[in-house]
Amino acid sequence: MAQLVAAMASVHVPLLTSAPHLVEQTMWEKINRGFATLRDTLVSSGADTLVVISDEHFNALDPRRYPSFGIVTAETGVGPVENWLGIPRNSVKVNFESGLAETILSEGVRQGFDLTRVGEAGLEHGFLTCLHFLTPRWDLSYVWLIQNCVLPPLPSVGRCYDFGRMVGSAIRKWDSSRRIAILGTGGLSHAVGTPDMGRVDPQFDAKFLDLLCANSPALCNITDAEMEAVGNGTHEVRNWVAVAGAVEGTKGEVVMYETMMAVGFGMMRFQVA
Amino acid sequence: MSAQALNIMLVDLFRSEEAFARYQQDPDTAAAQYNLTPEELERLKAKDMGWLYQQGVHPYILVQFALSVGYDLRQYVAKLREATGQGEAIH
Repeated sequence: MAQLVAAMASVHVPLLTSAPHLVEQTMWEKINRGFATLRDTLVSSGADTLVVISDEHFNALDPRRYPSFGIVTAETGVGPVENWLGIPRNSVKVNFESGLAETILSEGVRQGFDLTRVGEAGLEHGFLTCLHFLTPRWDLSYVWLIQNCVLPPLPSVGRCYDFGRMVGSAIRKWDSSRRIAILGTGGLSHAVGTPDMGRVDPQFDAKFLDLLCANSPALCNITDAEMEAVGNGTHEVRNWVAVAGAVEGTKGEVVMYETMMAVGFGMMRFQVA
Repeated sequence: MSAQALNIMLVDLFRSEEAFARYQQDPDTAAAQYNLTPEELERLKAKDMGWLYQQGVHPYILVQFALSVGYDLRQYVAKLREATGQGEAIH
């Protein structure tokens, strides 16, 4: 059976590639150290397949038909879709591990999740930004799971934890010798496209990271109202919570945290044995 | 729902180079299929971000449209704050 060998989470701030000049040198040093730590974790785990759990921002899905949970089942993906991301449009091609995607899809439906087959989807910054730094040669095979963090009504945080738990169990049931890592992207506190853009909440982030690193059941008590009050982009912490669910019972550690680029800028990893 | 018509049109524009090129060449013809009101079309052509936000265009859609047409983010936020009287200083 496949093994789940690494689990981690990071912000997916698009300014990292769209406007790198806005980041001070001292901050770049911290960001690069953070990505280097996650990259080392990935490499030392021997992972050959990376499951990415992120939201998407209307670049891959249609606002008229928007699932709570989606999975890309195509063989390959091309992006970025965005013309402003600082990575040439459609210059990145990845190989998806469709066998694992189909396994997760089947297991998800079997466990009662209305997980939607997305088929082909253009790659966008929710998927691409972290990988631009973590796997710059795009040499792993990937699975892309999409959680709705952007178009209400959103699945509850508890539901996302359970979703992640299902993903972890599906990975471990997959009849394969592959070594799988899982990455959640998005968050932490921030606002997107609203007059509050630029506002961050280090107190919320600290509390969230404490709960996440403890892999505490109290994560599931975080409400939509709490996150909305902090900023609409904060809903993306659901993707970190899903990773916690995938490695339920496993503790984690913060790799870095700063408030910069109008976001609570964090990375973490779980201590997967 | 009118904001939904704007949402759908803006998504089409920022996801497709061809759709965006057609819009730039002839916005009235390109917008015809979306059933926008005359005011919506005029405000869109004027890139009036504050008005579009207040009409209920999804903020993720609006900001990506703004970026795709070359808006500076600070300028974008300033327009929204000017229109709504809301918001805090950027960190």
